Amino acid sequence: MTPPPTRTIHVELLTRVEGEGALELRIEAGKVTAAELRIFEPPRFFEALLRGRAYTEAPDITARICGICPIAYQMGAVHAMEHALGIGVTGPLRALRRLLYCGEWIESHALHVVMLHAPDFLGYPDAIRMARDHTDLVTRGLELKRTGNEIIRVLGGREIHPINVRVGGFYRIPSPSELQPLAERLRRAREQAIGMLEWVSTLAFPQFERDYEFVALRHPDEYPMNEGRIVSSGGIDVAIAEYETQFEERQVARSTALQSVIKGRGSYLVGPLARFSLNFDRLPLDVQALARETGLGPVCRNPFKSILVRTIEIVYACGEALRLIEGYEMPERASIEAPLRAGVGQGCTEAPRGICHHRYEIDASGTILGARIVPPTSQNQLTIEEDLRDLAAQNLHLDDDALRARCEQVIRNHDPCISCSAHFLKLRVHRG
Amino acid sequence: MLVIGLGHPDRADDGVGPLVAARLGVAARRAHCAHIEVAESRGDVLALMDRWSARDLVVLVDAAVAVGEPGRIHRIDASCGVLSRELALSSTHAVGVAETLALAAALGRLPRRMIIYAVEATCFQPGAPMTAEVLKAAERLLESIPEELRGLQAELEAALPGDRSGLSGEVSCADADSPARA
Repeated sequence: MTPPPTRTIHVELLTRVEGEGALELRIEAGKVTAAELRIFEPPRFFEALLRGRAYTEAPDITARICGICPIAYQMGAVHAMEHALGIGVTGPLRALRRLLYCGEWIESHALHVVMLHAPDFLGYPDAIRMARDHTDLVTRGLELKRTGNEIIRVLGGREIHPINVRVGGFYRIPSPSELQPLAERLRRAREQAIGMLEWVSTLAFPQFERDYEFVALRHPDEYPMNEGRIVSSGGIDVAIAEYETQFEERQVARSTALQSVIKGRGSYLVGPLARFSLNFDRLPLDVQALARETGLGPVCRNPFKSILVRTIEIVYACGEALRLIEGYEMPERASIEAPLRAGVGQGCTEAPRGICHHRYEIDASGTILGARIVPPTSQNQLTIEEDLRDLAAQNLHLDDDALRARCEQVIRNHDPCISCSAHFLKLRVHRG
Repeated sequence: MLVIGLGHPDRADDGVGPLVAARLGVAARRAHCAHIEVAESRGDVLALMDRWSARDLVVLVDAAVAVGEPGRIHRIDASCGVLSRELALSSTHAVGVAETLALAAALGRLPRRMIIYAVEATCFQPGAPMTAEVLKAAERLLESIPEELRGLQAELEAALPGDRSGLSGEVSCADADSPARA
């Protein structure tokens, strides 16, 4: 039976995404007239919470923004504060930060690939029902997640909302012998990740591509995590401190999360596809080869293949973590000095879901006067809606249930962290 | 045997699980019960699946949103891995009890027996004290869980003839001196 020319697809509560959001799709006279990702997650007011706090508290407060990507917030916070203070972390401390970030990429990506995204490709409503028929896959994914969590526990002090990150470095640094058990786990984890990549590469990916403007960090020497310039496939190439010259946020009535656009242009995409497509040459040659074996080239514009790219990044992160552990020399001190001064600082790092930008203003005593944090999911909202519109337009022949399922999958392609995205720029109170 | 206290000690009634687990741990050490281990989880139960999968018995204590009687204790035998018919995986970044149990069942990683004590709670405010009703429930659990452990231990011994090393010793919380969190 041919679906009617006018219909509304509504998903009241998206599943297998973090946070609370809904989907509304309107089709009139056979054309898609609206595709809306409605985020109704309550605003979290973290930027307001930070005002009046000491600069040293920023890593611990911002870590609470997210339970799956706390490192991304901590790294953004410490880099921004260090920028304001005119200092920079190098050497073994920098390596430890990168190792910590590898842990987050591994655990976040593993959770998403196996528990959130894979069920879509295999036709299961959730990972639990999938687990009954694909025990090995789920077991391997959970083991990878555990490896990532273990890295965070050893370096961060605990798995969720780590406590060991500070401006200038860490509160406590591990000895090389403390990292050796991690190395053993990572060797196994890398093999598990390669096995998972082989499995993911057999999935049936819908043919769907869009000409995204990818935005990511780019570093002269490495696949980006903590540092680099902000670049795009549309020609942007700026220092992190120039973020606001290129991007702006705007409020829309249907969402408690602000939407980001490139000034004068519109939507853009951050996250694994953007990072991969802008930094393929920064991957080690063996990881590049693995990617090519799965059918990927240096650029990927199919969002359904984000599950493939995330798995490649798990392989990369396992290898990178091993490299960092094997080359680790314990520094003399856990942190560098941070002489106080008033100023404005910006930091931008590659969270698992894409670039996350922080900006802080502090006074001469180190008190935070203002804070602004732009998470990756905020930045991807408009792109997700455009994906929905384009995909729906190509699939109007599907019945409502099938179209709804496909649209939900489109959203899950981007692994949105909705709780992170819900922040407010301004709050006005009018009293009569 | 593993006793798991779920919850955050700094969030009022949400601390009932860690409180009960901690006091049982003290009592177990005093009674030299090496086979009774305690653990705490503040959110992500998924991480505990490894610890419980090889156990004969796991007791899990958690606060639950009150549906009528604050302080009421619900004892649930979750050994089959099912807690509710409908599983809403609206947020899997912190995988909850029901989802973890179902996943463990699907992966064949449930303990032999899993007993959940859910205490109806009303206050989850950060920094607030535990309510009187939930404190009383904690005290009741500190009497009933050791009793339950003794009973289940006997069942297990009957079901598992042979090596009984490490299964001796009684747990009593009567002498535990950790003050209840007020």
